[in-house]
Amino acid sequence: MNPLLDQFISESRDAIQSIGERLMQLENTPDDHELMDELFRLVHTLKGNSGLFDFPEMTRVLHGAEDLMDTVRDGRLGYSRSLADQLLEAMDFVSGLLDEILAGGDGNLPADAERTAAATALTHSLRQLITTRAGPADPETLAADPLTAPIPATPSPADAPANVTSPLAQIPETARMDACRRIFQGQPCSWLSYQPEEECFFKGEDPFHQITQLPAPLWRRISAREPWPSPDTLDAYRCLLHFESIVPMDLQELTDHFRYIPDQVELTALEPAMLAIPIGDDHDGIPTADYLQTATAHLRSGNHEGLIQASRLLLELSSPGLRVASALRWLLLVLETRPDDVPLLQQLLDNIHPGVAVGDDADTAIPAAPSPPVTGAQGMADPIVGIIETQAEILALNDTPPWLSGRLQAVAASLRAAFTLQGQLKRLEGLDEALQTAITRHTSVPLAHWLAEHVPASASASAPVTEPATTDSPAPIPSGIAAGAGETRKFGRRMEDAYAGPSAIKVDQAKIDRLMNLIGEMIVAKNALPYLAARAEDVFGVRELAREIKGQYGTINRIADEMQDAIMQVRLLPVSFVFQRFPRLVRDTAQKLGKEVRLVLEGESTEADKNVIESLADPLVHILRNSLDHGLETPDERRAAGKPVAGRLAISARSESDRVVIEIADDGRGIDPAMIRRKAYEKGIIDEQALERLTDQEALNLVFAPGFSTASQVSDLSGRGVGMDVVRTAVARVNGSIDLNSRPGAGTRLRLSLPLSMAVTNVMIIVSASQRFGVSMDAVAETVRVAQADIQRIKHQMTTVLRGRVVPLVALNDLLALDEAQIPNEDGEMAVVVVRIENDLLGIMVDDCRETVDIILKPLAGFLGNLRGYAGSALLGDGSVLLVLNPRELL
Amino acid sequence: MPKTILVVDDSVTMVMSLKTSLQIAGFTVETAHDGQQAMDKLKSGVKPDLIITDINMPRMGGIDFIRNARALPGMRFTPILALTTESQQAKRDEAKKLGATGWLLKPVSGADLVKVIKQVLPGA
Amino acid sequence: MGIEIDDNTFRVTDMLGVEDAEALLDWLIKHPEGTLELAGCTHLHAANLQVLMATRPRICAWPEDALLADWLRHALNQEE
Repeated sequence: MNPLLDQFISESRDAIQSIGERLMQLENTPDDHELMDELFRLVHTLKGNSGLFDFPEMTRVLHGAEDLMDTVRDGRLGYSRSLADQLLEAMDFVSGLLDEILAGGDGNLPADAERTAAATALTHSLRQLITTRAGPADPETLAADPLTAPIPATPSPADAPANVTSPLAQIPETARMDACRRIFQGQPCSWLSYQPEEECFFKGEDPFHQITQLPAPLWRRISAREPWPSPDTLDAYRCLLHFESIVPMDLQELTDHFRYIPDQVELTALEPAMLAIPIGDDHDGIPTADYLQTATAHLRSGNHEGLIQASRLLLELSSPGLRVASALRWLLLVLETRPDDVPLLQQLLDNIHPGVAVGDDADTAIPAAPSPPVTGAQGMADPIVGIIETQAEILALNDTPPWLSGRLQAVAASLRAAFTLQGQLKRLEGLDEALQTAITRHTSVPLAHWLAEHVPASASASAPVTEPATTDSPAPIPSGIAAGAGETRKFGRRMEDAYAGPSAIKVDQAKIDRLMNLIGEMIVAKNALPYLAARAEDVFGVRELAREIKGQYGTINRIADEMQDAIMQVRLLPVSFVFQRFPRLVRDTAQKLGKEVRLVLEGESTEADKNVIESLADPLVHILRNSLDHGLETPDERRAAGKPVAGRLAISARSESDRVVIEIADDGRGIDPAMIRRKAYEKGIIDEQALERLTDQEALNLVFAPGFSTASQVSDLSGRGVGMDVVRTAVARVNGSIDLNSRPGAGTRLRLSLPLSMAVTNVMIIVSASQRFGVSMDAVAETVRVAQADIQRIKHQMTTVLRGRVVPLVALNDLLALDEAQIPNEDGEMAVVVVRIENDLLGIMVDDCRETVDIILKPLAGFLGNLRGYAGSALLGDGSVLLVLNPRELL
Repeated sequence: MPKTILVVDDSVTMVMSLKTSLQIAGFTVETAHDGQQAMDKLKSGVKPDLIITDINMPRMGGIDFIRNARALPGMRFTPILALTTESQQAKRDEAKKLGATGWLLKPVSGADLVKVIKQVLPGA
Repeated sequence: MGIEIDDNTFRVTDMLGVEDAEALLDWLIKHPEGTLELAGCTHLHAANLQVLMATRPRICAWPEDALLADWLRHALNQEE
């Protein structure tokens, strides 16, 4: 798999974990904005990263989650439990996908209809939360941002006739004709006016670079927005440049090119009608009347040849500098290339008419707005609503073409006509003022506001630019800006966010395992040195060398010890690794059971070996489920018992010398020893005699007996066929122990004690029946020599008294079913290894006790794995294999 | 001389992805995992020809970083691209107002990345 | 960056960056009769463009890059 995907999976898992944690925290402090921000950031990052790969379902679900979080962060939607549920479910889904990707191995996620359906459903329910819950506030927020109104891909047709005010008229005719020809040939051309803002250099912009990247223009002008100051007062970094050009480019491409600075450019897709502006002097001496008559006739009859000839003739008669000549040149150009464009030809002919002055008065040249159709309907007839909506749409266009004022006037005229037709003259109040403001400020906004305020919402609903009629200020600040100010505040606070940066590196598990194996081998190899020393002395008789080897051994031993310790440190994980799952587990479980629970976690930073921590996970989950299911009462029961409604479940961890102690305590109903006795008896776990004899504590310990389950009903949660015996076995497997304390009515406390580390085991070597065995020093309380005379038989059980305490004795050979007697030493004493099992001591008689060694314990594999009496095997320094006993299982 | 680009993002995955694309395109890449670290780098003498920064980051987010970076004398004119998503119009506008040159939309493909950089960085 | 100055000639051999605009302006103020040699110029930042437009120095060699040369000629009203 590629490293990027590896990184993605690892980072995503961390993020999902953190998202779960933040959600849990939010449950307690739903108004914590920093938490909310962080939660949003996590989801946002996750989604952003997922887009780097082709996992469409993941991206879709995360997109939904991101939008939901965005809504929450904005305060449009409050935190709720169902929201947390949805998000958690989404994260579970993503987590599942990550597993699938990892399992696939090739970084692909093959299409799967079921998965796609699940993603769709999940996304739908996430979005549902947004729309149903945040619904009422939504239109307001949408309408509040006029700056985000969609940019029209092409100017509306309403723009076209307004060319009379166009700056294009200043462009030489040849350049315009060139552009026109290209357009006729299918090469789109656009008008560009780019006036960079004065401070643009301080935003990393280089306007000249933006301009020179475009294809060579058909016409260009570079000017200054004000006269250039003298060189010694010039500020090189205040941008005064103004670029204008006709670019052989599609409007869309050009819009895209200037996407970062739309407010600094005016862009227009050029059409022949905009370019065909006859310019020049007026002259009355040209006999245009006859020509116009002939030309109009030819145009109507489609006689292009006749029109061309008549036009050429008049052109020859006209001085080239006259507007008539210019109009004729355009006419001929259009006739050569687009003879069918009758409206354009007509427009040009109209220009030749002596009575019509063109190009100098914007207001009169605006073509009349489409006259509203006559309708007999009362009130707001549909076509009228349509007209008003169209005007609203036109106002919503957020471009600022050179002919904007013409457009605004046309809109105003249409509105006036529409309302007049309706007999609603009163509604026209303020229209003229709004129009004037709009024209002066060169923007549609004031007119759009007027429209929004003066017509029913339904008529202008389709106009994104209109503001809701909540503001009566004549020139309201676009609320997009106000929203921007809010953002600034938010970010100000964000700076103080507590930072939890990566202070650690991630190392592949396999690499640490390798280190572990190497140090294991090293310890074994090191242990060979004393044997070598012994051989040097005993076999080769060189004492001196033997002593030196021992000296070297001491040094290597120390280094190996330290190295082992260092590697152990690397393997240490905080118990939070396991604990972090609990808030969610407890929450979900309690919810299912209808109980209220307050979870308290303590000592999460306590560390222990990775294997130990990992082995804890399942037992702890089981214990928690038990507590929630059987221990804690329902809110009603608790209220009746005079307890707080919410139960308390505390999990704490601490280290005690070389062990980790984990306590799980609840304040639930506790365990009744009498009930345990009865049930144990019913299930045949104890006999009648024991029923009487057992102390309360001993009775409680029966819950660990195989086949015991305290729940009278097998519930969905803890009753999965495993009981506390499984928990005890799992804990014992990593050399841990478990105690139970309970007071009926007051609660239950379980105490797990585990070794900090289990990778290297210190064992004592013992000899029995001429074989060597190992016993973990963890289990060994002491070793003693017991004179045979001090061994008493009580019934069939051998015992002895150690420091005033009766200790049962067993012979190892008996336990191992070896048909040999234990051999005493020369003084007739038996070697006894006293081991502690739970809280009881047991003496195991062996033939001899030898030295202790550090070994790497390997579990027995294959069929041997079933031999429960052995904890495993290890390689010794002399190359032999040592079987390590498991005293508890031996019994 | 290869141009240096500073990539700032708290997501290691995103940094890795951008760094790979940029290195393939021949740029020298510096990275930082939040605005604060990026500021430290800039103050310690790293002088990128272009900065690409995420918006949502712990400690110091992209908006504050853009503002702070612009205040450094050596960074007055440096093009800065904000890494945003489709939906973050408001953030883009804010970033732009505070001195960003433009933005990139996540997910960024290698080709898009190089195209945008060429557009804002003369000589790239 | 890509600037060589000898006596009365300011030679641009590469790109003229935004930071160079002040140096260019200073030099042009101190050398009103100075000559600009832009043959090797591949791009100049807009800040430099406006320095040139405001000071109108003598240019003895236009950029070899035709597109850039065209733009500069238009900007300085020296199109052929």
